[in-house]
Amino acid sequence: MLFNSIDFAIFLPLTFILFWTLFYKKTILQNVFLTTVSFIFYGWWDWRFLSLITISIIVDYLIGILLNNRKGKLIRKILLATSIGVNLGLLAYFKYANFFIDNFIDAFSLLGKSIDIQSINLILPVGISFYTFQTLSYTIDVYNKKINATNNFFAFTAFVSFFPQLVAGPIERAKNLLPQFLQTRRFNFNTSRDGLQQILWGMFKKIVIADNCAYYANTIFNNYTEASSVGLIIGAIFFTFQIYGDFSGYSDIAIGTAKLFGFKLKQNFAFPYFSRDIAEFWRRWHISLSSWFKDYVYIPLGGSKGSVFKKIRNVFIIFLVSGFWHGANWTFIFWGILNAIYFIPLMILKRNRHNTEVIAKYQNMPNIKEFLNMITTFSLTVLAWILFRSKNMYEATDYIYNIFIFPLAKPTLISIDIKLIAITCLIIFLIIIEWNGRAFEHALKDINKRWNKWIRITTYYTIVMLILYYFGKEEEFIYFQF
Amino acid sequence: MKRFIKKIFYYLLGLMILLLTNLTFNIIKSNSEELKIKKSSVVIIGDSHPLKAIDPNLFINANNICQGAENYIISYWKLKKILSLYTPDTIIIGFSNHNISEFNDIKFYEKKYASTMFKRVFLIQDFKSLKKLNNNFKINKKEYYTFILKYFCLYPKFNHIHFIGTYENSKISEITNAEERANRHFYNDDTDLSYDFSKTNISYLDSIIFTCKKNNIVPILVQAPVHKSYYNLIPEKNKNKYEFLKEKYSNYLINFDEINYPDSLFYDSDHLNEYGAKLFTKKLINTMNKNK
Repeated sequence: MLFNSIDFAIFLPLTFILFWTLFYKKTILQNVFLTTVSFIFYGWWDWRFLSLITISIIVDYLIGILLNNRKGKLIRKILLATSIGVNLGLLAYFKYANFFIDNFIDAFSLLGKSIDIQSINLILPVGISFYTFQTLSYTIDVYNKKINATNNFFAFTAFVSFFPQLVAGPIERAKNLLPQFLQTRRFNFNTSRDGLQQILWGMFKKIVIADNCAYYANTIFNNYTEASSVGLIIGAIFFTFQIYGDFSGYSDIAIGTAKLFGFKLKQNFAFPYFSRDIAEFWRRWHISLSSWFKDYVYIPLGGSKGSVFKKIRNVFIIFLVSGFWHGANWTFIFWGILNAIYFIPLMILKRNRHNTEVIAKYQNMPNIKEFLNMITTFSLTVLAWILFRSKNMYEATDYIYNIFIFPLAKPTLISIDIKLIAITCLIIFLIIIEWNGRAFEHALKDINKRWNKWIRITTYYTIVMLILYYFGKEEEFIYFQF
Repeated sequence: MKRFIKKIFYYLLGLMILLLTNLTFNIIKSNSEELKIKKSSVVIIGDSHPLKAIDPNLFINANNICQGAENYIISYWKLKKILSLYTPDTIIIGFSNHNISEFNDIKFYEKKYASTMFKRVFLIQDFKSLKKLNNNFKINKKEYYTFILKYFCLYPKFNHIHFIGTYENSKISEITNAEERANRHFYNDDTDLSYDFSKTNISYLDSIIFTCKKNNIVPILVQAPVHKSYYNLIPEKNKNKYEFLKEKYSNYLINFDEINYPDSLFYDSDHLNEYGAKLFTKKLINTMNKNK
């Protein structure tokens, strides 16, 4: 079920009312109810893949208990390896099998030998990368004795399958989310209001910004050979806003929905396009994934300790793995490598933790230096997104090459019409609201304290009307494919 | 919880008042809006083929009200609406191979067409009769009601008539899209098989001819020229059925089979450009005059 669908518009109020009227008294009832609706939510897309989540749940639940009860080092290692094997095995098969087969064939053909292996006809289960990482973090943390395994099967099932963040994150840690399933949630007015505000802003980012930017980004990326440099740059900028609106919009809806049921999920985006350097950008973009890789890959590798070579190696590995996590395509891998190249100079010069505070914290506007840094960082991310959006490496390099050879004779592929003016104004509106709320968890957080009542009400109605106006395309979220 | 529900209720109430105000205004306006159309003696109806091929300015008194992707169902509804205003002498109807393809049946169902089609026809539609004729005909109800809600409730509109098209063309000549066009008209994206012919659309074409005769209007079926690169890609099954229908409608059909225009007269593989339209329209007028 998509968040931006009529189905969800019916599903959410219904589950919300049922949850707080019929199931609010006992924790077990709440968990059973949440598991049921989560399975309906996921099964709405394709019920057959419920079996994969069920496998992950059962395997990790049992291994968690066994890890708690066993003291022997070897047996604990075997149990952890089993959990990692099953989870990553499913992920590798469904997401990466064809990538390896195709590259295997290509490698042999380069050697002058042709081998006949058929690609497997697979459908990528929605959100498999997200819930796999979530359950993996549970068993790894139990193995490392950072948390105790739970015996409460219903709480664990609800934790893994919790519908708001099941298909596109935030990737929650058991340490943060699981305890919330072990206690009875109580309705809280302020939390629920905050949740609704976040959902509203998330819907705006997805339906109004991302889906409209998608039209222009697709037009240009699908016909990039016919576009001028200006057209190509505009296409890349539109994709930059599309992916931000799409993914951070999803995260806002997910976190806001969780709040309606009394849960606190991690912040996943902290206004990344206002970053002053790439290191800051990566502390603000897809925070739950970055911190996952930091805790379970980067730090076990040695992190920022050791020789310069080791540090560079670790950074490369983490960005490479992050790129590969996004998809079975060389474009994602090179996107990761490019970001590593952006990041490493900052790390070597020990400038990667220079900008940890919110930009222009006590001012309304950034100073010139901050502004220039922000524009530079934004431009670097725009360039990197070209790799991310392109179908293959040839297209990506050709796209970038065409930007720099200035084929001005070609058209921009986009005509200046009312639709383009409207989306440009909407992007400006997005930037203003986000800038205004940059010090908060989300752009509309606490606006009842920060804004005048009538400005607030006007903004709410404007956003709702814009959502209703642009609603109906029900475009899938980009991050579902990851 | 009560306080939360109450707050939401008040916000929704405000929203409802706003939406209902727009709805009321738009309903009143759409019901009272009169169709202002040139009462010409010749009316040209159909899709983008006659839209681009027949220049009404070359007639003494004609009006081209075609719209791209229009099927015979919509053409019939348009005709009924025009007849409620006045009775023209002649109706020219586009009649090409793709008009009888089942591709025309997806216009009220497939997302990429449905909302545009609903916007055009909501004032003239008669889905009940359509369903009566073919109970299996697919209409995307979810899309229809979403359209109606969005169209009527979001903001006040002053123009609700969207079903009258007009002749438009250009001097461009770019004939490279034959495969894409033929695939769209004759092959189903989902199955990769060629479309069958549409019984429903053929029935509506019969109804258009019947209605014309009943009102003493001369119906003329016209096949606008298409480029050979496109024509060669039309499945034989469709061509055979089309030939059969040409026989059936021979009394109303002006046959332009012999036309073999050069590339420079085509806008793309299945539409004439401005030059082609001029030439073709003159030929059409001459033939009509001869047949009088």
